[in-house]
Amino acid sequence: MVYAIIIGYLLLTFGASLLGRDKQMDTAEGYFLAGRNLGPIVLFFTFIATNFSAFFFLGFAGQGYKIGYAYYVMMAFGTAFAALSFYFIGFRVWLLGKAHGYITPPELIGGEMQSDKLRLLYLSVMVFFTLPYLALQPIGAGYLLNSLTDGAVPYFAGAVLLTLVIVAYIFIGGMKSVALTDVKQGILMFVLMFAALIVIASNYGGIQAANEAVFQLKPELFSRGGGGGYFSKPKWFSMMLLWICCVPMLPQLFMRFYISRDLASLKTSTILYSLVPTILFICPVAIGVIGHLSYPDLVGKQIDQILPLMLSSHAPEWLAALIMTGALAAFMSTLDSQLLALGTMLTRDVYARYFDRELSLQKEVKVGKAFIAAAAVLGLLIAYHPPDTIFAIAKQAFTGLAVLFPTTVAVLHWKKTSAAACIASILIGEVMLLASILGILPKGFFFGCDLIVLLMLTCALVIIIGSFSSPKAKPV
Amino acid sequence: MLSAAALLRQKIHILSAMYKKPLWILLFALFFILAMDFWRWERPLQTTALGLPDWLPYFIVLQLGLTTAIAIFCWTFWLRKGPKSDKEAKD
Repeated sequence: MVYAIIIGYLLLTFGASLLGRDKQMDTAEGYFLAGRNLGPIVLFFTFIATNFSAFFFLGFAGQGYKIGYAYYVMMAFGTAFAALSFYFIGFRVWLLGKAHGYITPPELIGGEMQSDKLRLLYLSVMVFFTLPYLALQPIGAGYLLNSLTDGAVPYFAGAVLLTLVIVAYIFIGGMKSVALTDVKQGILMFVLMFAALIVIASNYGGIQAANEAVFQLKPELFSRGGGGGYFSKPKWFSMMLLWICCVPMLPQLFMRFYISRDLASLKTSTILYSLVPTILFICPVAIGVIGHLSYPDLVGKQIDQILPLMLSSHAPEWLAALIMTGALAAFMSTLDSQLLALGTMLTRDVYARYFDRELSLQKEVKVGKAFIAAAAVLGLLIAYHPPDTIFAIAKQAFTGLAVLFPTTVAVLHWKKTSAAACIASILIGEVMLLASILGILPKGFFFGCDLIVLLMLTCALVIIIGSFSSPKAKPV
Repeated sequence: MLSAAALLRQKIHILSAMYKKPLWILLFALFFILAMDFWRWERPLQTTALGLPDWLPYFIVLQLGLTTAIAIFCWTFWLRKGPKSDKEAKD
């Protein structure tokens, strides 16, 4: 039964991707950006499926187990608030993309500032912090498939199989195939997550009875600061700021601003994107909280297993397999978008600029596919024997990408911005992040806040001072 | 009772206020500030409907309010700022 569900799911994914194949596939805009022609529903689902990775399924439940309901509020409100960036970043990106034919984020930033150095720096930061995050997807997918089949499919074979399926459907239809599979994967995530909560809670007499039992056992999971006092007040403020600044800077999300068919589609996605976390995020967190009733002593990495553990204990085998397929969908919908974003950036911002300036549109698509395959292989190589540092880098990836936020806002909204000031802002921000990782900048030294607060203030200040003092301003 | 003309004037007044950028910046900043509900962090723990913590409904209402504000923002302020076609966007 488990195998039938997995094979059925993969065939369904492949079938959905075939719908994405059309005549526009031989042009860069057609292949990489679905011809800038996605309507509101597909656009909305591709936004959420891309952003809600497997961390939403497994990580949220794990953090719910550790921190409690405060984690739900942090993630749900932070994500909902990030929807505002669809206006103050996404709208301008969409307009400029249509007007100047931009396809990648570095193209837009470098193009608007007429600076190759800024474009390359922006590209380097995006690639550097996306790669380890990308590698985490096959790692997670491999473990999940291994666990779903009770070890019959070895970890690395599972990672390779799922990556191959993803690369195949990206090759078939590019962004359009990715977006169409995102619709199916997004719906699966929605339905299955609710099903999981209802099935698990019913074993304890319903959600209310289950929560009340946990409240007697572990009341701190219901506290405002979370279990173990996880959230201090400065940390709460810092994490809220982090989500707003980092979400639009993920290259796979940034590129989705280009693909809206019209303004109405972008606005509909903005509204729905702000609503969904409120409804959806409570499910995995509640499962994690309720998990204490059956597994009260999980520690360390074990907490991320709470969702599969609860399903195997409290749901029929076929339903558990079906729900975990939803987690698989979450992995795949993030990985495909990351691969496409990296392939597109490396083709347009590196190959087409430095190796073949006369690149034809058809050849550009072929080169893009080669880079997508190369990125997939690189991800698998890292996944084969993941170094400890990969988790450390991936953990810092959001902060590393958020450093680009002040530059992006300045380029899009401030005519006085200079390229030199933006370069200085990014370099100083990344050096500060490195200093923090190395322990040179002690944690919480800035009024107890996380580094992100100091980073945003410093980077913004550098841009303002630099732009006023730099002789070459942005051409208007 | 307001007359029809007064009601219309009132509606126009509300709508015109919706087109003002500083108003929206203030409103969304207010939502962000309200998410920092530090004044009640130390209150004794209690549960409410579905056995959820009693502070949770505050956030659900806040988030639904945020979504409503974003929807009104999209239908009023943003509506006026957007080009109607690709051609207009390129211009």
